[in-house]
Amino acid sequence: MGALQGREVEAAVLVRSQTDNAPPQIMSKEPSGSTAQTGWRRSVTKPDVEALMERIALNRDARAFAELFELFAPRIKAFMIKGGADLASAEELSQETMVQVWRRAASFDPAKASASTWIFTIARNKRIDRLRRESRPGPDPVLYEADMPKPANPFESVDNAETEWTLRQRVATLSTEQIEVIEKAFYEDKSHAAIAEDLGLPLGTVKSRIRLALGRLRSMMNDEREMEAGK
Amino acid sequence: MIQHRPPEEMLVDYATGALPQPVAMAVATHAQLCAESQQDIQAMEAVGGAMLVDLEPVPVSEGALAKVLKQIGEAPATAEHGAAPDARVQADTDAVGSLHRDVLAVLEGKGESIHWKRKGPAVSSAALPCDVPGFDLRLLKIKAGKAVPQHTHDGMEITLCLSGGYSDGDAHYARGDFQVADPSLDHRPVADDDGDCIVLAVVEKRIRLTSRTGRLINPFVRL
Repeated sequence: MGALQGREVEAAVLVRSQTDNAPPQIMSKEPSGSTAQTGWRRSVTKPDVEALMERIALNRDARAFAELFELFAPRIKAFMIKGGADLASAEELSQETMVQVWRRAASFDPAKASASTWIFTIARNKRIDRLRRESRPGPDPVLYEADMPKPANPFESVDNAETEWTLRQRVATLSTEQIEVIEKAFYEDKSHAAIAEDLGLPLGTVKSRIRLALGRLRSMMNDEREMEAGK
Repeated sequence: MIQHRPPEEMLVDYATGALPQPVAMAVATHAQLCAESQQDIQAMEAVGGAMLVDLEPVPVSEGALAKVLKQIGEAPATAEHGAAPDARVQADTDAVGSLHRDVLAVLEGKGESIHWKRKGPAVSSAALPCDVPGFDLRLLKIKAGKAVPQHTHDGMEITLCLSGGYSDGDAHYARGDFQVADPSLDHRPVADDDGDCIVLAVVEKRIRLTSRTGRLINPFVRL
């Protein structure tokens, strides 16, 4: 876990072997070249985050939680700021999200999603919650985390964290225009209509940009799955 | 097998958290019944997870971790207990949400237990909490073989079939099917002959009834 301590995380980059399916290695890499220009400033290494979640979920390990906090709280704060929260609210929402991560850790299912995806959904719901509290009082919670039946899920056969890692690299290969709409959608929780208004583009253009971007990511994920399945 | 799924952009907006609550509720309920949509949502959420990790961190305040640890009632020093997940896990449900009990009742085949209000000879209705102005969210029960009076909408209407089935024009909708009707559609859902049909309906703005009887009995929604 040493590699996860504080600033050391900064340049840790997970490199997947291209020639065989050897386990991923953690390698040091200067944040330059393609890494820097695509905004991959720091990398949270994948196996460690999953391991932290496991220790939190199974052992209620507060040390593991502290490490997870160090990695995610500042990113959740950034996420909230992107979504329009002021610094104080972003700080608060980040803390609330992490409390929720601790409390709900037992419901984390690595077969369903990677740890960071799961944390994203909690942060997203916190953001929705707060918006609702502010703009429209009402007793009923939004239903984003309804328990769902277990579908035949292609993710279950693969390592979700691995897929997510690849996904992060692949987002960088999208065009600037595609990244722009995807960021607005995910960071600023803007609807298609709101993004269109923001960018002064026809709704159809935004739809097709998002569709193309997600389509590309998805086909890349499918390739990944096939690779996994074929090994 | 679900034939009619929400448009992709609606699933994206759901995953990013951009849908209004009643629409999100319809999508969430549909996803409970549709593995394919559920998978799509999970794939889009994975994009969100990847993007979260890649955000430039904004430092949290100095005492933030201590505060959070205090709140969860654990200090690092007492970490070695190895206690099983405790009751707090279940108790903390603020942002969790669950399907509305009436929706659950319908999905479990106990639709009769709901407090229905008769809205006409063919249709009963049960309103669901909806705190977004301009939207109406409700369950509708259409009697076997009967039709909802023909109507158009000023805004979007979503109909999610929960139990039984109905036809609208050339299309048939069964449990889990999701129909989005835009304002231009003048439609007339007819319940299957073999049993009552219960749907979750999300209506944006006001509905205009276009048939004569519809105008008279105003059975569908009262906004």
